[in-house]
Amino acid sequence: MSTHRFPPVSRREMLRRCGCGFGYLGLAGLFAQLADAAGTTGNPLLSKAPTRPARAKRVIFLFMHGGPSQVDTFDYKPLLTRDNGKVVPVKTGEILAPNSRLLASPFEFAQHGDCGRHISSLFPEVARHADKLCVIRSLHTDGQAHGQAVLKLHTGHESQVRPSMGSWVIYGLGTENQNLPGFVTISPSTLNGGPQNYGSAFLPAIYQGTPIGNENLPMSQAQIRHIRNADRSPSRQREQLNLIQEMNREHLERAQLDAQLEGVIESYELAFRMQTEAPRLTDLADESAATRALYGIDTPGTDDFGRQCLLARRFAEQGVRFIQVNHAFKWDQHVNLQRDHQRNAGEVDRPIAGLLTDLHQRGLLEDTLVWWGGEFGRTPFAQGRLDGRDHNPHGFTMWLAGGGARPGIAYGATDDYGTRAVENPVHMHDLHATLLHLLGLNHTQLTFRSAGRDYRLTDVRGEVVPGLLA
Amino acid sequence: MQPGVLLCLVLVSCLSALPLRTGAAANPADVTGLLAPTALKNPRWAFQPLASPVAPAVQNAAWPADPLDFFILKELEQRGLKPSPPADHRTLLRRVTFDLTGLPPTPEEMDRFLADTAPGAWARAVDLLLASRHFGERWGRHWLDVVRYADSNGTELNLPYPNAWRYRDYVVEALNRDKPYDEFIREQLAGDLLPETSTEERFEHLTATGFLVLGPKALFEPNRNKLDMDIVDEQIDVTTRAFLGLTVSCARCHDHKFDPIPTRDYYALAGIFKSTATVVSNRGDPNMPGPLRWQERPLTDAARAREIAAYEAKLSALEADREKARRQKMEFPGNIDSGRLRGIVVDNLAAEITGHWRESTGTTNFVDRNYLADGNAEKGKKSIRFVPNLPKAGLYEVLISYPPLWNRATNVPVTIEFAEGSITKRVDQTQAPTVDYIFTSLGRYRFAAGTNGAVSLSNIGTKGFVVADAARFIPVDEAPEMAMGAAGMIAPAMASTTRTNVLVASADLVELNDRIADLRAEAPAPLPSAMAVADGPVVNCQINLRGDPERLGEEVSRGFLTCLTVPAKAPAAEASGRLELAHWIASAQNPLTARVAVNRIWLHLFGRGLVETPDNFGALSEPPSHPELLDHLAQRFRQQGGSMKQLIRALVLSRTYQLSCGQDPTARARDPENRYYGHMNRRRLEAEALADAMLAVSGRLDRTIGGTLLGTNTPPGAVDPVMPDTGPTSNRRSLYSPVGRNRLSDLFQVFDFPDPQTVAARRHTTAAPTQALFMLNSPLVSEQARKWAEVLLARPLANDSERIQVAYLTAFGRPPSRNETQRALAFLGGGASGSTTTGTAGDSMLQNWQGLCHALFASTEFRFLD
Repeated sequence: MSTHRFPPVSRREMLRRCGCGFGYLGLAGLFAQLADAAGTTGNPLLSKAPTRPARAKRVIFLFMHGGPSQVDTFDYKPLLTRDNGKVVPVKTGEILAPNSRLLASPFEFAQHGDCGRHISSLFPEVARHADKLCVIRSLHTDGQAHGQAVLKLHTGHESQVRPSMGSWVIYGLGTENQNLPGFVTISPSTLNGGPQNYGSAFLPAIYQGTPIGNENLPMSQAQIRHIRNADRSPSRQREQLNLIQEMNREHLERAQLDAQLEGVIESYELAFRMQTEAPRLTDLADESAATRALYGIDTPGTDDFGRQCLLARRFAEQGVRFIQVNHAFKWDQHVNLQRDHQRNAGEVDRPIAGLLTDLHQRGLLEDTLVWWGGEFGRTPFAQGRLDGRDHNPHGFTMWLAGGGARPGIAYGATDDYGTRAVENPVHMHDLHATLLHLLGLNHTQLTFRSAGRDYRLTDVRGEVVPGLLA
Repeated sequence: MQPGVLLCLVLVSCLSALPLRTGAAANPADVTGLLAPTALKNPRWAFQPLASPVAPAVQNAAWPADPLDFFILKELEQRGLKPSPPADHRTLLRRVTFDLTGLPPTPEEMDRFLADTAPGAWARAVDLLLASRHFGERWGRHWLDVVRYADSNGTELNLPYPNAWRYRDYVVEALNRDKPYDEFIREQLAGDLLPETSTEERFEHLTATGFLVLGPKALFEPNRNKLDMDIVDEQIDVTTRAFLGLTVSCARCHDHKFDPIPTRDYYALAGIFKSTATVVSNRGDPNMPGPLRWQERPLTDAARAREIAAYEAKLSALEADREKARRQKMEFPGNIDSGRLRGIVVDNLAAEITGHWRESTGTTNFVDRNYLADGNAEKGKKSIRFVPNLPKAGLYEVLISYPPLWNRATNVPVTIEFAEGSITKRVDQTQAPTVDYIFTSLGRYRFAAGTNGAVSLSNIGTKGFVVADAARFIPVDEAPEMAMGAAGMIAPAMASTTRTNVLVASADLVELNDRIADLRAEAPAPLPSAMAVADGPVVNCQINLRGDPERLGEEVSRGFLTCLTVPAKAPAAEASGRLELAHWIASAQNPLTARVAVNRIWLHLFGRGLVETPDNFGALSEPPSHPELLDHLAQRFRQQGGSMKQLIRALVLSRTYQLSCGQDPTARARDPENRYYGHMNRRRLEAEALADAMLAVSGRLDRTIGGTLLGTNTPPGAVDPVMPDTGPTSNRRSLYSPVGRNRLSDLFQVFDFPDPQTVAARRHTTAAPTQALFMLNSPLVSEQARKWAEVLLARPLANDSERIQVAYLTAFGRPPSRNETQRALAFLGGGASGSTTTGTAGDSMLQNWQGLCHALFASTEFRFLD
């Protein structure tokens, strides 16, 4: 990758704001930057060496918006089946109306892989990868409502404005391909904080996530904003850009030296390359029929999410650092649990399995951390007409694969019915700390100063969970 | 977890490895020795009283034009640096026009300025701009950044703020009228408590307090106390950062780690805001989801106010009645617990259901959680069968329950399957059930034990709504008197509730709801209203231990920060204390207020602050590069009655402001960051200035001042009237584009518009490729370029060369060089001849011109201020 210099923020501002981040940048890195020939600025998006050995170079986060039910997917609870319909015999806390009745999962569980992982009939394809999965069954988070929990998941805080995790990651690590954004989110939702979930908050805007399409647009039409020019052909636009750049260089000459102007000149070249590269990347036409089939593309139901997952693999391959794939707000089954969880899983199961297979075959799973889950789980108790479950932030499941996550394990446990995390609980802060750890970042040192404080993704909490590491 | 709170701790742990003797040393950047040593190392420099420094002596005494220039020149001379030469007139006028109005000078304004060769031409040009109504738009926007202005609530439910714009217009007007800064402060914090001399002034004062209401609020937080304390925290944060440059909200959970702000002080302030009503009940307004809304106060004259008050009183009375009726109803719950009824009860929840029935709780008096309704549809396709499991064979009284209503069916077929056969009866569901107004008896029948009998009900042949709730089987030997339907029907626990109450309550509720709806329909036209606060019940706050509003410590009297010795009146016993707080902040004795204000003004004119952390003057601030200059300016600001215009005027008339951007090699080596202002900083146009400049240049700018472009587009009664996506929807200045929290337009997002959820006195300036993509490909730029091309082509000019000349003058404030003209002509395909545009290929001509105009917009010369 070529090393384009452009100054999104001045060196001075970076130094001042990095605050404790100074520690994480490391003296060596700092002086290397200072030694940088023309010397006044550096591209903060250049790929940076992590501060500790990294197991993962990039993340693909498969976000199941709405809250998939753990007891219907990856957290097998035989006692729930046995005690179906019973009034809850446990202390329920604030999450339930009194007299809620246990609701057995309508889905069959079976053991899969050498590890014998219990996975429900909702995920037959993902189940084939059971031995690759690091299933965390003891997550808990803050926020009883979607908005709070979604923000907690993405930004580490349920109500205040904080940078999203992807922004933190590229702030810490830069990105490997300067012709593409370092942090993309595919088909993001406008709900529950919307852009805040991929925003950079007080981090400079260069770290914000780049949306590809949105939840209301079929993936086949999704694109980076303003990536296409409607007025002129590429060659005509190049002529125009040449004119712009000539004017800009003359301006720079008159200014003699100005890092800001240089930065803008660089940004035009970068944009022009991005404009060529990104549409090529989002166009899946050059993928073989077999690959498309692997992801369930061209098959009703799985086509859309299949495209998202395939695009995620293409971004990963091209060195994009943080890729989020969004299964838009679908998993909120207060009613019609059986029908709609079946539909949702049906849409994502094959594409996700395809993604795991494809990453594995290409040797990418080694250093790509795949992360699956929603903002919270669901209660083991019934809601609605006995076919729905309420939100449950007190115990739920997510899984990791690849990227240094320990494969073939199930970590932690909820109680007998799946109400609360009771064994080895993993708070969302702990998960964030662990994910950053796998990327080679120390979550306590990845900080940014704003308004007199140094902020970090994990606030003052979070412990790396050693049991999740391969 | 407590919002906002724990972050301060991070800082401590991070910095623990660093020497903490002084605030300056706590700044890691200083620890590295990378920055120039600063004159001040006292972390509490900003809390010291203002000094009155005299202008220092300088070698080149002929250079300064304003006292401030002495301070600048002295530092330069001390470092062997020379100021750069002054900028040329064209550059200067472009610079100052953008700086004071956010717009480019028109070619006519440029000509006028160049033609004015008399002494004082610069001051005359500046005074014209200060008098322009666009001045307030430009500088008002700077203030709006600080006060996290937005047209929607943000958070989970992003409700639009239909009246936020009044506050924005207040700010613009305050700047245009050069409202003294202390007055500006007092009005925003306590306008509602200030005396007024006219109705207009009253409205203005009320509107100003929108400052406290504009923040994001978790209106749906179920814990009211937490909700209130979060709002208080947001208000403390914005107030202290905006006016004092202090991060007081750090002290919500623990004493401030760096600044002398104990938790007690935080809760002294918290009491003031807690005694202020920011959110109010939405009083069942059908347009507002949730129980609470932010407070708005009417802006109206006395007569209209009386009319409204009468209406409000009537409404309140009805609402009180309704509340009474509702409570009465709650005492006798509509859903009667089947477990408390004698006999065997089969509720609809346990019945066999055929067809689609809707669950309902709309009418009172039903068994268990709900009842079912057929929706008056699919007649003949819906039925329900109640099958009891009878303990023994025998004679049973069979009853069914249904909540009656006028629109129900009168002939609902009900079939009883008993031991000897079956019989179908008709039930009139418009009539109240005869037994306790809940059950109607269907007669006595003999049943076998077990599940052999049933009662079923169908909607076949019915007209009107059919409902199904429960069937009940009472062994006759247990209740021989049952047919009379006496109190004995109900188990003892419920017997105390009289059936009269049930009926009265239900009837009243329905009727009251109708009357309230009728009254609302005749409501007087809504008054113009502004987001504004009012004093509420006066309370002192108890310290929230670790910031937890449920864990209370010692009570703290309302008061101010103890770290600043500002003579002031303590909060009065009978009022919130906001007025006293406002006086305390605005006091001439408060050293922070003036320093923070002049630093921001400097920042906007010179591209960096004398203090580089404009929102934080605490221990972790960057000490001022020119401490004496800062105090000098603060003193002047104070002496000139807090006139922002006079200060701005002084700054732009200074030599320092008029320097060119050029930097010679010596200066570059010795002061690469231009910390000493040896030349002017080149600055990027912000999102608004860029968009407005394109509109102005293309001749499309609508210069209307004020008002709202926010169409809430919210159908009445909509459950989720969230803020619509926003973006430039008109040719008005970007200032008027509604600012949706979490809904920023592309333009704003890409060009570093600050997140409107937090105080931001200084914007980032990034150069992300997304900006380049926006300039190259966005329809907004392309469209403006086309309009501009049309305007240029329509001008009665001799040839393309002349058009290019006009284009350059309009966009850059200067004529093109010969080379530039030639290059533009070549781009247009017109060659070097300067041939005229009246060719045949009109379309491609327009396209070429659009391409050229687009290129000019995208150029750095357009996007930057030299």
